[in-house]
Amino acid sequence: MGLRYVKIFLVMLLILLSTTACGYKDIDKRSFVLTIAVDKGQEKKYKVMLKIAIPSSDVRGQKPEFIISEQESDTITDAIRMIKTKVDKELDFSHAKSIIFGEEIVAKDVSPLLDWFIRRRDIQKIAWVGIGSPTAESIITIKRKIERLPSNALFMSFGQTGTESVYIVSEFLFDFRKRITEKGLDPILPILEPKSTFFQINKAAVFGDKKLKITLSEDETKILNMLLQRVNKADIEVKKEDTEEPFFFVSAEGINSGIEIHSSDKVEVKIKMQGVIEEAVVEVSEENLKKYKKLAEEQFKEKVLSLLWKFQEEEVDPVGFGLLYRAKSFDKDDWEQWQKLYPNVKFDVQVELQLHGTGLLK
Amino acid sequence: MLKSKKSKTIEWLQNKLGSSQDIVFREFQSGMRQAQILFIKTLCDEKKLQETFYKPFYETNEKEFDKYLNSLPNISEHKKNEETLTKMLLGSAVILLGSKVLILDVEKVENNSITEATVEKVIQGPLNALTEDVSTNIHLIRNRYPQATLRIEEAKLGKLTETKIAIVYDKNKAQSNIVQAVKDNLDRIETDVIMAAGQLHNKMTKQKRTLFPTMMITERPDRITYNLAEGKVVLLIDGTLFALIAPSVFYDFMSSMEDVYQSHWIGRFILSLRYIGLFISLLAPSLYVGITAYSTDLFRVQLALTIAGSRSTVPYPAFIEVLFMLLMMELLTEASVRLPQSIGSTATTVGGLILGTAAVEAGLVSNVMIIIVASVAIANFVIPINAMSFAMRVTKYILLALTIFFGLVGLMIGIIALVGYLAKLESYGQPYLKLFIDPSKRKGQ
Repeated sequence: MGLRYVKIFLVMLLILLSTTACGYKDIDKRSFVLTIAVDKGQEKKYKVMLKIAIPSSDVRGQKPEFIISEQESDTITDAIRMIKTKVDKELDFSHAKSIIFGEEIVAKDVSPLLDWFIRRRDIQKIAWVGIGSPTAESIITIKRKIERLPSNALFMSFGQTGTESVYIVSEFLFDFRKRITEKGLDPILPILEPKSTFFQINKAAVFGDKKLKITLSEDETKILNMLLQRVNKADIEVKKEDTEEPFFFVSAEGINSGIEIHSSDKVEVKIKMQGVIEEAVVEVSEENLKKYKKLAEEQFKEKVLSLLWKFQEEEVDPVGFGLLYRAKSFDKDDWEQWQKLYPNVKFDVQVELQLHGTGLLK
Repeated sequence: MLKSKKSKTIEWLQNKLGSSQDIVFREFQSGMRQAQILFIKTLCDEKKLQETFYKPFYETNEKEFDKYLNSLPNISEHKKNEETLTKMLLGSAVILLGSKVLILDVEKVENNSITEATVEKVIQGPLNALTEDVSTNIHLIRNRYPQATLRIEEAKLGKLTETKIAIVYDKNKAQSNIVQAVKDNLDRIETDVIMAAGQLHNKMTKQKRTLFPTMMITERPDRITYNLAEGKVVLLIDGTLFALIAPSVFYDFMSSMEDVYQSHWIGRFILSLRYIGLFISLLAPSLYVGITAYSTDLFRVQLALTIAGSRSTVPYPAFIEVLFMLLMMELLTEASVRLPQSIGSTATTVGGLILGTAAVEAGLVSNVMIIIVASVAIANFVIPINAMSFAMRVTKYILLALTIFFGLVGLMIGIIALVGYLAKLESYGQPYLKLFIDPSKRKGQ
């Protein structure tokens, strides 16, 4: 009886010993990397920068203290190894929740760069990816006054736990990778621009052929966000008929969009939303509500169409029309078919706005 | 001839008892009648003796007195010397009357005052606990459970202590094989001294070294009544106010009588609170070590940095920190149990508040550690039955050891092994991890 238990214990011990992959390392002996930034190196291919948080022992008076350790190298693995020789604690990537690439580096094919991030199991695949303009370094060196933890501003803006903006296109690492490898769905990344003591995220970059192709303006970014259904609240500017003067703004919510491809040369885009007038530059009245609604719908339709034409012209497809076409087709050469079709495809945009009121009591 | 045999008995008894100062031997006469009496003063109730024996002896004539004696329920005839001696030692008086040797049970019961329950408290429910006297306890139970089917059988345990044990059960509800198993179990016990319910529980289990209780220890008459109605067997032990209930499964140890007394959802809430407490007290130290030293990605980044910061002054690895603080906490708990109540509160203040803050300020432990140890201690007290709460206190260290060596994988395997072990245990045929014992279903079996 006793011997049996000893045997079971030994087997358990063997199983346990073989299952432990990583060893015991105290939390205070780890350096938490919060942001990884990659720029083009001056001598070598990459310049890798790690933003490492310095935990403070005084919780109440905590200020965002960090160091940035950098290394130029031709491969990321090598750069990380060299950085390890510079810091006294074990690098811990488990909280590296944001990855910033420099503008120069995304101008070329990014897939070899991305390989390391995808393969490493300790890099979280839910890390947010962004482009630092002009460099990634200019973004991660910013010391924001309102941050309690280094890099927290990045996490809050991307994660929408803090600010909720229609201009921020948050992109996860896994989704970025999916869009790079998938046919008919092109990658998008937010662009971060430094502004003395803070950074601003209101533009997006669209990739084609695994490298940066076009940069979208603020308004275009907003519309792309709505088309991708990543926001459900937005404000829409309406101008006076045939002028450039602003007329009123609609605070829209419940935004719902859908795309459909019925015949091979026509793509249908439907956008539904509802809202009230938020700000009127010129006086508006309740009776003309139907007129305002029509005006807003038409103007918004124009904006969407011009963005879609822009994508068509540049042969990029961040909304995923190609993927939808491939999903509905049974042909083996559906991708080639779509590539031929896309430049000449017609867009049918339908906007449906439910304008509830002028936003004022009668 | 006859007389010499009688006096021989007395002589033999006197010889055995020696010359203690509380042994009383008297001869007295009334008219033509002669009587001798031998008893131990400290064990016998002299008032009872006065009323049942002396008074009638002087006030009636011989014939009537004989009839009277025969009608007494607490009188028996002498058979064997050894038996008589045992009875004397339990509070009987030996009377030599004419040609007869009679044994009169006039036991003095001292510790039968009913006190409030101290170990298993409820807020709104019966307040009193059992007493240390077994017949008073039976009285309490009979009062609460006035059923003709209630059976009370007596047994004696302990070669030296001769402790009275009452086996109480409802004949209609309890399974006869369980009752028989309990009786057999009691018969098998060979020991000198039995003083407490826990001790009896240990003797009754087949394995020599156990951790988890498989019989409920309780001081509440209402819990006993409730369990009798569920068809369980109750063992009352003379000399202690705790009783044993068999069979008892894991769920019973997590429930308090309060669950029955409160309204349904409140009862469920309190019960789930207890299970949460159980998991906190079992897992919190292991999770702390496992997450801070192996899988830091489980925390949010804010918390990870806070813990890393608060640990930066601590010179030792996390597991030494945890073990040190847990040891301190166990010492504190153990000390406050042993100390008199008036000093007990001082010990907790000194230990809990001063030691805790000083340890943090001295940089020996981190702030977060104090929170964990405190929550472990509080959560452990939530488990209503003391024996189970102690078992969980020990189990926690096994899980902690596994986590120290193998990280969260070790913790997981530890939990699986614990559940497996608990599932293997059984209490008189009832699987230990069975969640509810339903008496109505058992009838159909």
